[in-house]
Amino acid sequence: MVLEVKKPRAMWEILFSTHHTDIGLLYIILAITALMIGGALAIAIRSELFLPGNQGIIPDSNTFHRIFTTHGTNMLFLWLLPFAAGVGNYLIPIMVRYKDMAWPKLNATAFWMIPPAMAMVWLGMADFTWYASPPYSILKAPGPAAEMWIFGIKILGISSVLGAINFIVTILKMKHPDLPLMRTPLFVWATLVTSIMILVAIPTFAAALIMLYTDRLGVSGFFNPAMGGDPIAYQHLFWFTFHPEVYIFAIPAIGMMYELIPRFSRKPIFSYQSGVTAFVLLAIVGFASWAHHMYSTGMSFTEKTVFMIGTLAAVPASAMHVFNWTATMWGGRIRFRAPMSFAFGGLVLFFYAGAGGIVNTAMPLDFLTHDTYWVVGHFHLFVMGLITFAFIGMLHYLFPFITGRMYNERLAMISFWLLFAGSSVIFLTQHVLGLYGQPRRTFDYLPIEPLIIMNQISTVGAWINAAGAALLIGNLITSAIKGKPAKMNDPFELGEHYYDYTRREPHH
Amino acid sequence: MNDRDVKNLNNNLRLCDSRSIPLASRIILLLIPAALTVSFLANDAVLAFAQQTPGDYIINRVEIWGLFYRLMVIAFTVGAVLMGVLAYVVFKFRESNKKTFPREPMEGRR
Amino acid sequence: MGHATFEWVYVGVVIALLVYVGAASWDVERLLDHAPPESKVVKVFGQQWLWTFEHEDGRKEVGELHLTKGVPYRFEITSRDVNHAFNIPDLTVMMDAVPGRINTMWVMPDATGEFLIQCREFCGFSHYQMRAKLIVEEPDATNVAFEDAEEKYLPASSVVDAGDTARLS
Repeated sequence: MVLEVKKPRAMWEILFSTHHTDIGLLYIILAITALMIGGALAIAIRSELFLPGNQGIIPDSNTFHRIFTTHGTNMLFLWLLPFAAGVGNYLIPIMVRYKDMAWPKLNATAFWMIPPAMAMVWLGMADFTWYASPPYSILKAPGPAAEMWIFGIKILGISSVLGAINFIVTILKMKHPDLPLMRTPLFVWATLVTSIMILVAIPTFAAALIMLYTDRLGVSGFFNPAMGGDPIAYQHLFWFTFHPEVYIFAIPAIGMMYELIPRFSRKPIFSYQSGVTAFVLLAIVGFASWAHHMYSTGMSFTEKTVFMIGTLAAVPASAMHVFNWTATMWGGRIRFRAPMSFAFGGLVLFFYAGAGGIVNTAMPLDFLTHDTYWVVGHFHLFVMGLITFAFIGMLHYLFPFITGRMYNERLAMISFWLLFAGSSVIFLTQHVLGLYGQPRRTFDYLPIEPLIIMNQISTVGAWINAAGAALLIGNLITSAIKGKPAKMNDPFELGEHYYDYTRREPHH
Repeated sequence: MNDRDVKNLNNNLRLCDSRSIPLASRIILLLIPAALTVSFLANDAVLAFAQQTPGDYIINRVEIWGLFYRLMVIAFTVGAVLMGVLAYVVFKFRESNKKTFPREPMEGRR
Repeated sequence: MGHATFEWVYVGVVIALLVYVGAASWDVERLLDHAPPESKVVKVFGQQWLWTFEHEDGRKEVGELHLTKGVPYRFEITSRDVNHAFNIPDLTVMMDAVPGRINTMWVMPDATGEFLIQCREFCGFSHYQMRAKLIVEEPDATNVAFEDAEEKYLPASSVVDAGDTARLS
């Protein structure tokens, strides 16, 4: 238990610590803060879009562009990645039966790179969308916001790579000699696979960032047509990193669901082997599909076909996970507490996310959906519906482990229902909104009846989400301070061992 | 619990037994999706070999939306099946379900 | 029938469905891919934050595009500054406008009326209102069907006109 608020440890002890549980806690707290702030930005966006015309919540389109750029950048790099790193930090050494991560000081360094990067992204508030596509980002986007974004993301990328190296070495080299890799929990496999993907994918974008910066300075023309460059080259570099990156976001969440669903169903996983195979398959095939984001850039028929096949090839792996979870629940004795509810909600929304994605990858249908709200709805079902739900479920599950207290179950379940209803309403509606042709990243839209109604429905869903998130964070904070002490050997009364390492004191 | 206990956990509620699906049914089971695929593709095969003559052009949006509706049929069918299975699972196997997990008369009493 | 057979069947069904999706998409895309050789070329220029068009006969239009029903058009789309995307939702035309590059897309407008043209790639300050109007007109003697520009000055009763317009319906 790291965060025993009633028996406080000195703050500097946690801040200067290199122990994996402390660093895990720091990652988690930073991530949740970013989630809440990013969510506030989203509420501002959706409230502004409640009606056509300027509602006054966001004064002009420039501010609007800065807000959604920061919202996206923040959610992806300051919520999703750090949270996964935090839970990984907390659990991986325990799961491989080692005393800490392989390189504790490197671990701390990787974490502490994030706050300055966060400050740069936040204070700069760049306006060129989180894609930062040239030529806009090199010719028109105002500095210093653009440069701050570039440097901030650069630092976050390095932090990610350092963390990935640490995880790989911990899992492969520091694993207890009597513990075979095929007996480690699936979350270990998820973290291992994710870390390897990070090492392969990130350097490409690191190069692209440098090129973007030198182009902005005017000393190079990689992506500037006036200097003989090609804006589409950037898109290839960007998506070669960021398509696998979306699997990097998703795979830890899938690993966490493999922790929650079997435990709360009181049944072992239907097929461990299938889980491992699906992870490895997804990691490899995930690199074969990046240009499905670029179908409208003027690719040839053959190029598009190749990437469509690459995209479709990744679907069976996800389908295997869904099968595994369902078959695990079948025949179990399921206890629906908050962690399981969030995991199950994630499972449901995972299907809708994937189904919508298949429509995007069908080449001609991309003409309907590319750069419309369909895409916004689709990816939010993934990052909110699958990944955030899995993360929040895991957070509730680890709550007694971290704090020694139980959160309030009823409030947690209410917040689950609010978030599930809100997320479904917002993002499923946006699929239809996209089919009507409303482009994404638009400050305003035509005052046509269907567009107005769907935007309003979406906004109401966002407010429901806001209520759920407020309840969630209130519950977690107050329970950490004065919640009921948890029964540490089995806080959820599942009849199985919990992470029973609490009998060992955390600083050994 | 050890490996033996784990293997025996599902004995009451096995998903499928070795004997349960005979060979003939398995073949049919594997052929049905193939047959459906072929029947859907037949329409496209006809289109594939149609030539475009002047004055006789395909209408882009008709083709595209037609493909969209066909995919929606598949998506909603699969979705309905999956949602049905999930609803069944969470309803039948929730621990508060007295039919699946009958309670002893003295259970819960101290 | 072992523990894993059901999963194998399930994966088989998933793959069959994906094969269908892929094959049907490939088919439709193939149909859309080749512009008819007799298409009329319309050059589309996107720039912050308006659309300009140039017809084959040299006519230029700003913010409005006049096309004729039943005639296949091939758009040659490019940008003068940053990335844009030329989108006519009602005709499912969607193609990026990238500076330094010409992307092509063809369409045959099959209904008359006024339609929306919008930009569908973030391009800055006024991206959200970078719109234009598409006006599709009935073919008649004053606009061109398959003939050259000079022929629009010929009387409508010429044999070539009558024969060609009959095939368009």
